[in-house]
Amino acid sequence: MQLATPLPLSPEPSTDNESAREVKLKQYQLENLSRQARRVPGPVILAAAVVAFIAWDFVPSWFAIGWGMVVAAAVFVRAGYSRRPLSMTSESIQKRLHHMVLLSLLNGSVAGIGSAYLFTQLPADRQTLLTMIVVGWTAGAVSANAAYARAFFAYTLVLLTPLAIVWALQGTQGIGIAALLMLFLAIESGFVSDNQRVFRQSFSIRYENEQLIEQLERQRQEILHEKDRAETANLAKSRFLAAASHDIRQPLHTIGLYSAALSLRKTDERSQELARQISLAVGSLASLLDSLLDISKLDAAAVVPEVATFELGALTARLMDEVGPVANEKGLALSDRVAPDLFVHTDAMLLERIVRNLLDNAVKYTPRGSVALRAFSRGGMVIVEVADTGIGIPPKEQCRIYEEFYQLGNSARDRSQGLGLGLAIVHRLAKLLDITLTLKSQEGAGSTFALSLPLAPRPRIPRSTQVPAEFADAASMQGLRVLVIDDEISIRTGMQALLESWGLHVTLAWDTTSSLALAQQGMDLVIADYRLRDSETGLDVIRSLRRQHGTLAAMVISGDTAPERIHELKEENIRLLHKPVAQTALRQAIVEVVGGA
Amino acid sequence: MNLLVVDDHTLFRQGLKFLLRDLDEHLNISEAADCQKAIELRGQPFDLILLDLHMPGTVGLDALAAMKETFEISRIVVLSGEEDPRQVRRAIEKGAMGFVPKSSSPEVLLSALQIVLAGSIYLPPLALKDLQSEPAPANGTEKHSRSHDAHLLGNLLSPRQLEVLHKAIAGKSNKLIARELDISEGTVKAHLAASFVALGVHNRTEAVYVAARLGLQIKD
Repeated sequence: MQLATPLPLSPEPSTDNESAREVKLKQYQLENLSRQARRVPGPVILAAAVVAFIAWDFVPSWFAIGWGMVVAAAVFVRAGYSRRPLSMTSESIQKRLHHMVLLSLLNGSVAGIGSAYLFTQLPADRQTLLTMIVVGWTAGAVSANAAYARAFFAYTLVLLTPLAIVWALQGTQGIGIAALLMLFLAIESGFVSDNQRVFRQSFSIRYENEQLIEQLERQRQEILHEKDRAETANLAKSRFLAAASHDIRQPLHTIGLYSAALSLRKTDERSQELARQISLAVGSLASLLDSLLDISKLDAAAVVPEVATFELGALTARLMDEVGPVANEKGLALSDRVAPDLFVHTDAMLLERIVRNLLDNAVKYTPRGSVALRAFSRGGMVIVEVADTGIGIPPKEQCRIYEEFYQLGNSARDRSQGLGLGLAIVHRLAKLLDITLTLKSQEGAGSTFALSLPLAPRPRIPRSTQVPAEFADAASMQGLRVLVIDDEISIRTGMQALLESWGLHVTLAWDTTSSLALAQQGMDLVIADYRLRDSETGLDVIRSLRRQHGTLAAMVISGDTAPERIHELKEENIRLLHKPVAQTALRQAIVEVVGGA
Repeated sequence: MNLLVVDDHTLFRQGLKFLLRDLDEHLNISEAADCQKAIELRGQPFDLILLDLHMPGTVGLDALAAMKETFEISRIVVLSGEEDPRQVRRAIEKGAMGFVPKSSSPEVLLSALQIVLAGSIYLPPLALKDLQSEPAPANGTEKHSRSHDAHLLGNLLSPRQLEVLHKAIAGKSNKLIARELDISEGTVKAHLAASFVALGVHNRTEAVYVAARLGLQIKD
C-alpha cells in the first residue's frame, strides 16, 4: 500500500490531552505550509513588480523599487525560515506555525500598506488596475494557505484591508468598492474553510490507513514469532526424543540378554513358551520404538544423507531376498524387473529403507495376488516402482496415508500391524533425499508407488581398482576338466568353488589312488598341492597319472621356495605356483598350461 | 580368557556378564562403566574388550581410539545400539574386530557372542551386505570367486603371512606385530600386502569383512 504523500514521522505529544493524532496533523499542516511558502516568492514578486510598474510614473523610482525589494525580502525571509531544521516536538511545531503566521502577517502588511499608499498617488484608472492586481494577489493566497487557515487570514486581512480603507476614504462610490472588497474577502474565507476541511479529511484518511498498516505489521510479526516458537518447541521435542532414544533402548536390550540366557537353559515346554512370548513382546516393542524414534530423528533433522553414486541392481536384489520369504508365506507372487546399469547418486541406505518400507507395505496390504518391484530409466530419470494387487487406497485417503499413525482398515488399532509409521518415514526420507514420490491406486485392484530420481552418469573406476578386461580366454576355460588334489578337504572344496565359478569342471582327489581312479573320466589339467599326506608329494601323483594317461597338463602349488623344487618340477614340465597365489595368477597359469606350455 | 566389558548402563553390563558366564563359565570378566574407569585398568592383560560406543564423556569412536591406545594387545569388539552399516565400517576401520548390535534378537545375540568368544569375527548381516565392503572383483565373475573357503587361505598364503594377517585383523598395529614376531615393520607391510592380494581386498577393513564371511577363526 503506497500513500501519495507519506505522512511525516510521528512526533511526540507534549501533553496527555493532545493525542498523537492531533500533533501529527499540525505537523502535516506545517509541512504543507512550508512547502507553499517556498513556492510563493515567484508569483508574489511578479505581482509586486506589476504594482510598482503601474505606479512608476507617479512615485519616485527609489520608492517603487525600494518597496518591491522589501516585499521580496519579506517573502524570502518567510521561505527561508520555513527551511530551518525542526525538532519533532509538539511545542516546536506549534511555535513554528505561530511564527509562520506572524511572517504571513508581516508579508501581508508590507504588501498591503505599501500598495495602499501607492494607490493614493495614482489617478482613477490606475487605481482600478492596482485593485485588480491586489485582488488577484489575495486569490493566490487561498491555495497557498489551504493547510492552515490562520495564515491566510493573517496575510489577506492586512493585504486587503488598507486598500479597502483608502477606497472608502474616496467617497460614496469608494465605500461601495470597499464593501465589495470585503465581500470578496468573505467569499474567499469560505473557500479557505472548505479547503481546510478537505485537507483535514485527507489527513484523516491517510492517518487511519497508516495506523491500519502498522497494526497489520505488528500482528504479522506476532504470528511469525509464534510460528517460530512452535517450530522450536517441535524441534526441541524431536531432538530430545532422538537423543533419549539411546537411553530408552537400554532396558530393552538388557531384556534381550536375559532372554538369550533363558533360552540356553533346559526348561519345560510351558516355560519355553513363556520365554518365547516375552521375547516376541520385546521384539514388538523394540520395533515400535524404532519407528517412533526414526521419525523423530528425521524431524529433528538429525539424519544426514551420505550420497554416493551406485548401481541399483545390488540394492533391489538384496530387498528381493529379504521380502521373498514373507511373500511366499502369504502365497504372493513376488517378481522384480530391474534394468541393468541404473546408476543413481543418493544415500544408498536411506533409499533402501524407502523401498523396503514400500515393499513391506505392499506385502502387508495384499491378501492375494502379486507384488512387483520394477526399475527403469526414462527421460534422464530412474523410476522405481512397487506395485501390488492389494486392497488399494480410496482417492480421499490417498493424501492421508503419509500421516503418522495413519493406517487403512485398522480402526481396531491392532498393534501387531505396526504403528502406521512406515509411509510417514518414506515420505520424510523421500523429501530429505529430494526424490519424487507418486501413487496410483484403485480400491480393490491394487496400488503402485513410484519413486523418481535423476539418473547418474556411470562412474569412472580409477585405474588402481580397475577390473581387468574380460579375459579373452574365458571361452577356452569353459568346460575344462580339472583334477584338484589336496589332502585337506576344506582346501579341495574351496578350490572347487573357485574353479567352478570360472566355468571349469572340477573333480577332487587326495592321493595317488583316488587320483588314478577319478582321472579315468578324462582330465585336461591337474592342480596339486605339493605336500600331501604320508610324505606323498603332488609330484608323485602327477608322475603316476602321466604314466597312466600320457602327457597331462599339470601344475603344483607350493609354499616351498627351495630351488631344488623349482628345478625338479621344471624338469618334468610342471608349472609351479608359489603361495600366495593371486586369483589372476592362478587363472593365467591355467590358461598358459592348458594352452600348450 | 580375560574379558573387559565397558558400558555405561549397569543393567546391561550385568545382563551381559550373566549371559557370557552362561556361555563360558571359565571367563574372567571385568567391568568398567566408562572410558575413564576402563583406562584405569591399564596394564591388565585382557584378551577381549567389549566396548559400548555411546557413552557419556566420549564422542562416537573416540572411545575406541582411546581403548586401542591403552590396550594395544587386546581385541576390541564394539557393542552398539545402532546397526548402521556405515557405523560398522567406521568402527572396523578404527581397529575393532567385530560389531555386535545390542538391538539384535536374543537368538542372534547368542550366536554373535558365541562367535566372538570363539575368536571369529561377528558383523551384523546388514553390514555384511554393505555395498562398499565388497572387495573389488578380480575378474568379471561375481559371487563364486569371492566365496573362498577359509582354508583356501591356507593354500594361498604362507604360515608367516597368515600369522601377520590374523594379527592385523585382530586389530594390532604394524609396529606391534613387528615387535611380537621379531621382524621389521617393512616385512609386516609386505606380508600384509601379499595377504590382501590373495584375499582380493585393498586394506585391513575389507579383510575383516571377508574374514567375517569366511567364518575365519582369528588366532593371534
